[in-house]
Amino acid sequence: MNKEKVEIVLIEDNPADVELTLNALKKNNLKNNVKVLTDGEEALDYLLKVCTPPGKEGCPHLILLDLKLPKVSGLEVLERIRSDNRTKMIPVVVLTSSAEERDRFESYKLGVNSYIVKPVEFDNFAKVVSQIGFYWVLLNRPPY
Amino acid sequence: MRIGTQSIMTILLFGIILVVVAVSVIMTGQQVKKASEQEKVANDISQGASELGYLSNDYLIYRESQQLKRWQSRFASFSTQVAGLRADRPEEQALVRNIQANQQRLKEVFDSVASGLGTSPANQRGSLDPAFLQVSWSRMAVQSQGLVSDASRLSQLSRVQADRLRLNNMVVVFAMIGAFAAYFLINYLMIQRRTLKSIATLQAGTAVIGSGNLDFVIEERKNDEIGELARAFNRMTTDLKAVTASKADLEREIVERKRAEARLAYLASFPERNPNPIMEVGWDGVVRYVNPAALRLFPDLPEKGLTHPWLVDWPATVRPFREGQADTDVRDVDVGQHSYQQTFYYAAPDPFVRIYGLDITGRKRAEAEVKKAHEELQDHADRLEAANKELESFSYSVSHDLRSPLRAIAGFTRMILDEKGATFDPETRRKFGIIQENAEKMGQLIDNLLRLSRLGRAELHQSKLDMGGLVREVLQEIRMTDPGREFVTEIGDLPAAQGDPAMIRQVLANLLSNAVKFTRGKQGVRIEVGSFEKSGEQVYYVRDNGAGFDMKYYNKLFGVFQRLVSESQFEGTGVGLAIVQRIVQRHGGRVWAEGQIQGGATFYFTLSPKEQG
Repeated sequence: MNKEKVEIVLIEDNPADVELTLNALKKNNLKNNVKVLTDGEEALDYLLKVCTPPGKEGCPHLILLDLKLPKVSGLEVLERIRSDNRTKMIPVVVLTSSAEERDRFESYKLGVNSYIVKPVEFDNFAKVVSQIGFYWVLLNRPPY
Repeated sequence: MRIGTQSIMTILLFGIILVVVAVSVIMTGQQVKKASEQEKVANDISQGASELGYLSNDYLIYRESQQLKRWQSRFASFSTQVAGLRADRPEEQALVRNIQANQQRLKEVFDSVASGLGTSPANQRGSLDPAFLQVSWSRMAVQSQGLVSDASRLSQLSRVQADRLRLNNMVVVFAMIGAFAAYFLINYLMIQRRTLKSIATLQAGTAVIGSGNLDFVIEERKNDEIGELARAFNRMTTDLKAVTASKADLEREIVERKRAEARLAYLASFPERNPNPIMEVGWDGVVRYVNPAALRLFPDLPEKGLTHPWLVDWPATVRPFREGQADTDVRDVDVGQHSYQQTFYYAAPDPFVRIYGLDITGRKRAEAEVKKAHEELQDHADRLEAANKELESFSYSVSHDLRSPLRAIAGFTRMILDEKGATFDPETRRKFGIIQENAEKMGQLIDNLLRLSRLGRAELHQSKLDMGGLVREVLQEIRMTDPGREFVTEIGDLPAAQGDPAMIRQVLANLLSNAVKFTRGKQGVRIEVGSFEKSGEQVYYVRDNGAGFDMKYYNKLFGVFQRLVSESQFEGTGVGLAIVQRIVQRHGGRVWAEGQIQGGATFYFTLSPKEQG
């Protein structure tokens, strides 16, 4: 695997969670293929840039999305990803602290591929993130 | 035959008899007269014949022309008399013919005698043959005597005839009178008989009718005056009956009318004494009826008419009635300080509308108060809703904002331990361990708190619950989490209940895990699950023989974050029983508990077998 090729876009504003996530992904050797973006606006700009035309090299195979983001909320980011032809087929996994039903329903309505509540315990958290990476990047076949 | 006709006939018959008798008398009289005249003529002839005999004797004796002339003169008158003879019957006619023949022969005899003697006086001729005289005289006498005899005979016949006629006449008259008398008598008897009989019938009938039986009908047997009278009587009876009947009808009608009037007055008293305003107003605003209450309430209504607030907006109000779109309507109007509800009824087919008014001032005021109260309540509810939203948002924040730092604390602690743990002394590692434990504990607290807050809002998805099945499932899970624990369970007869399966499962899980938790370290642990009915409620309970609790602190048992045992003894967040209480309350049930220190605890809850709103 190309060491520098972006496979995952992590949209997360909490630096601690970013570090914990990256730490967890390190186990799958995916750490260097992650692009971290800390606000929704920025994330959308980036995605539209790297994914024009759709399926272009550098367009991620997975988007890990936190719902609680500054400026543009995670749900809004999801909605815009799904409404743009260039990004609508990219697998999106919501990784959030919210176990709220409405967040879950809303996410699925907008077409999320998976909804994961961040486990409180770090052990579990690390395990879950690692599994996500394994499944979506190494196991799953992306559309492009 | 009618009596009148009969009478007329009787009179007619009487007249006819009279006429017949009269005619008979007159005719008989004439015949008698004729017979008498004939008798007289016959007598005259007889006398004339005698005289002629004498005269012829004189002539024969004296034979003078004077005697001859006297005879001839007398004979002339005698001839006239004979010529006047009229005979009807054969016998008389024969006599008349004899007389006429004798008269002729007398003339012939006399003429022959006269011619024989001439006119010379006897003293001059005295020399006549006496035989000749004798013969002549005899011949003359024979003729005269024949004539006298015939005339006498005729006279006698005439007298006999007259007598017979008189007798006949008398017989006829008497016969007529007798017949008439007989007829009259019979007629009289017949009339009397039938009349009396009919009158008797009539009398009996009238007596019956007179006694009041107007239904009696007199027999109308004859087609005569009595029959007519009976008919007239019957007609009269019928008329009388009709009159009597109509009188009864009239009396009944009067009674009915009086009753109807009383009824009418009674009915009229409803609007008249109704304390609410009632009136009838035309589409054009003409007021046809106003009840006293309306006049009392709106004394200026007649004066103001359609400008009165009672009739405000009148044309628009009656339009639906006029256009046939409605038969009834309701509206509210304000008159002065009072509000009225007007109910309209179309007084079809007249172009009028009846208005039934009701003073709704009090109701309006109450409604306004209720509305105000409702608004206030709504305001409260809105604020409560807002507060709830805020709380929800707070919970959300708690979920998000508290979890992340906790995870960071735990995560970075772990990372430090992973990277540098090998170089740490045991004391440092122990303290890092405490940090991790507390972070996890706080995470659980937050999760339980959120679960509790969600319980208040979550919808109940009720269905029939197999309580026994649920209990067994939960116990199986508990055994799997802690396979080393040994305890005996006793599950009684648990009737089905109605409730949200996930929530009731949570109740059972909390109660049973509590029971397992608080019996830890004991020998002969027994957990009992059962049910009984009390005051119509189905009570379920979970009993253990564990640590129990002090009833002194019962009021803290179901409180959030309230713990009756120390953390070092039994771990826990103090939310479990609060969740149990919240769920059971949401199902319309109750929760209570009994316990004593080291004497075990029993937790009860009720569930309705029927669905709760």
